[in-house]
Amino acid sequence: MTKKSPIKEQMSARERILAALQGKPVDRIPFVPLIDTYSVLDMPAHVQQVMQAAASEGYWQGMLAAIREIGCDIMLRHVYVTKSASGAPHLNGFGRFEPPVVTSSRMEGSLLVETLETPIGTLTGTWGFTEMHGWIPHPVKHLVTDHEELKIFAYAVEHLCLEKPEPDFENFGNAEKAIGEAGIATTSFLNTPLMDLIETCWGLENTYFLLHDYPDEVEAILDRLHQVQRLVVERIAESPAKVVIEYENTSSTLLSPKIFRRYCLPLLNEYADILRSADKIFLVHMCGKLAAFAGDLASARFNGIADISPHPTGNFTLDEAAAALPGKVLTGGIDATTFIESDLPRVEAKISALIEGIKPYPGVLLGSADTAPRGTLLETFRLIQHLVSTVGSYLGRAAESYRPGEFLTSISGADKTPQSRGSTPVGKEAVESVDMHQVLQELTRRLDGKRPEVTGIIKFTVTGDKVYRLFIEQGRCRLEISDGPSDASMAGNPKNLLALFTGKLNAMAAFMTRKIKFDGNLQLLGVLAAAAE
Amino acid sequence: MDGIPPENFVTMIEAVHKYGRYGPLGKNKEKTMDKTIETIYTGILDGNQHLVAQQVTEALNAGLSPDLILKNGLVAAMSEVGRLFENGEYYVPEMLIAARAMQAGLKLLKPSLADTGVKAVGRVVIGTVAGDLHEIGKNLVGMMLEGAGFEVIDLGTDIKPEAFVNAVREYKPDIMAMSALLTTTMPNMEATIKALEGAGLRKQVKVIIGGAPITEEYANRIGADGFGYDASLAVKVARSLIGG
Repeated sequence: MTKKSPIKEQMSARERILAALQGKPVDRIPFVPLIDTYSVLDMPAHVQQVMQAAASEGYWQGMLAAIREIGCDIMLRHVYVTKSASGAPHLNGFGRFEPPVVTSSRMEGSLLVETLETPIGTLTGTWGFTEMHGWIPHPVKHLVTDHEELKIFAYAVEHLCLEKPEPDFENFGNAEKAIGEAGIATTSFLNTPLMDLIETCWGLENTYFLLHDYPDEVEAILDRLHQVQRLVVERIAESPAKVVIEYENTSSTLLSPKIFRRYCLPLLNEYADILRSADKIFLVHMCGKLAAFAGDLASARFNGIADISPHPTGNFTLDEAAAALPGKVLTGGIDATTFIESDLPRVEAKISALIEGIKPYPGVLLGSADTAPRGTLLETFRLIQHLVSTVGSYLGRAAESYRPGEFLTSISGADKTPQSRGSTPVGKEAVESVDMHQVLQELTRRLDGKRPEVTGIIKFTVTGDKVYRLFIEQGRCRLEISDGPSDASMAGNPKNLLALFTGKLNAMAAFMTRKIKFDGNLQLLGVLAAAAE
Repeated sequence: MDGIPPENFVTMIEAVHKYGRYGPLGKNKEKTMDKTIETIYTGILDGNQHLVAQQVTEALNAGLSPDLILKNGLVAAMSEVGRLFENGEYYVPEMLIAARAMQAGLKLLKPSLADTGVKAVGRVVIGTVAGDLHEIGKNLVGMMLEGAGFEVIDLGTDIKPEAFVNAVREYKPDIMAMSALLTTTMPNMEATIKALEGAGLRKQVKVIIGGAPITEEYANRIGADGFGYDASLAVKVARSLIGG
């Protein structure tokens, strides 16, 4: 009889998560939902305040603060180990385009417009936002829609830089230090080229129509994009990140097993070989309908699958996946519709049953199927955390202590209703007494002469105050109190604008939480950072 | 019959024998017609839009009934696509390519269908609900409904309840179809149904819903008439709702 390794009682979350990710014994099932700013948009005020305060330092800092407040095991996502290229966010995902190809982006009202300029033509993609989507943009006009645009895109990708991206390992180290024993940080990279085209710049229909009509040309593009992606993976392999997650978003609603086998799986296996030889744990985020791919997934060389979705979004329960994919690490299992269920006793029964179903399998971490949805009650997260600590415990005492309904009774009286959807429940922020004219004059003085290559007009619409315009002419700056045309603009209350200018509020966080509205040429707005130099 | 020369009767009878349905040339013509329909059918299954367009044009030029081309060619092919999809032999890529080929043929057929008074089996208004910009599912359902002989009016994405109501008022569809891909936008399906009730139009139209987070239970809960698990099943539900 083999001797069982003793399970350390009361493992730290870090120990527990890393053990589970290696298929080793744990004290209890970890609970690692995927939480981002979208998830917390309707959370109680104190959660949002904590997140927003921390988000002024950066994206992952805000997320870490939110997850700590929510109280689950921390498996922090998207802590990058490379520096990203500036320009257009979606086009940057392909890599750094070199001259004569130029990328740019601007806001036009609530639309993000991204442009790819080449000597043989210009491509434009448009992304929309709605209140319900949160800050997540959705394509409303794809970059490539026909053969002519495909040719321009092909030209552009031939000018992608074939060098590993610049590392930023310090960023990751800081995240790990901040998390400590409460969990782990993970780093990310984007999906395989075909999936990236489907989901972003080409769209589903255009990708398949063009692949059907011009297979050689499309495959040449995919090969080139893969060359660049491979360099990203090689850089990640050098980083201190122990756990790497690629966001593939596989689903039979997007592709067939035949297409997956031809265009995605070989690349995923190649990435797995690179990362695993560097002793990384490599997970692939697959949040869609996976049953059709089970055979391929079972033999795939990555360590496991993150954020598995059961019905209705997916078609694989966590225990089904565990049975079908022996040896694979799995996370996920709780669908968005369960998270937003307001009948908490029903949620308790469902999750208890799910936990009982996965307990026999090693390497299974309970979590959300894709992002935990907006509208999830804080109590739901805490209920699930309670369940993994009792029902999900492998230590007899903790498991035996579980009493159905007891936790909910203990927290009854707490506000279980989500805040009204679509509003930031922090309440009206007091507009402090800030002399914006003086602030902008100082900004103008500091920026003057710093960027001689820049010419443009930036408009500031200050709530409860006036409209100002900063005229920049080859780096020389002049401020006017006037409304009129501009190349870029921002609008917000004095307190938030001041926080942005003094670095206390991160621009991305400001945008995501709608504290400041941006419009026009985003690169021009980026010039304002020079005032702080 | 009086006054018609006997030799004309002879000519007529000879023509019937030669060119009629069971005559040597008539049989060839029928074979040619069958072959053309078959080519349209397989062209759609193979996703060959140019072949389908070419064959539909030839079929029309050869005098084939537009209704026949539609039913035996396009609709039959898309029905087979649906079956292959439900059997797990075709997936979304194959469905899209086939639907595109079908649409290439349908575009050429539509004027003739209108001329000959052929009516659609039903009219559907479809859209993604307010706050939601996703359109893939809606587009696929729209294509499959067209392939099944429905007239489809696509309202687009981010459609407010009142816009759905106005569309029902204007187009008087048999079915109103709504798509949602987010748990945050799902409630707008119920809001739209309530808006129809408020406008006194609910009984005039059947409502079907679909999308990633949608379940049959949810559809029943909010008072929808049907739920489409996927594009192929959505067509079956639509047909059953109009008694087809």
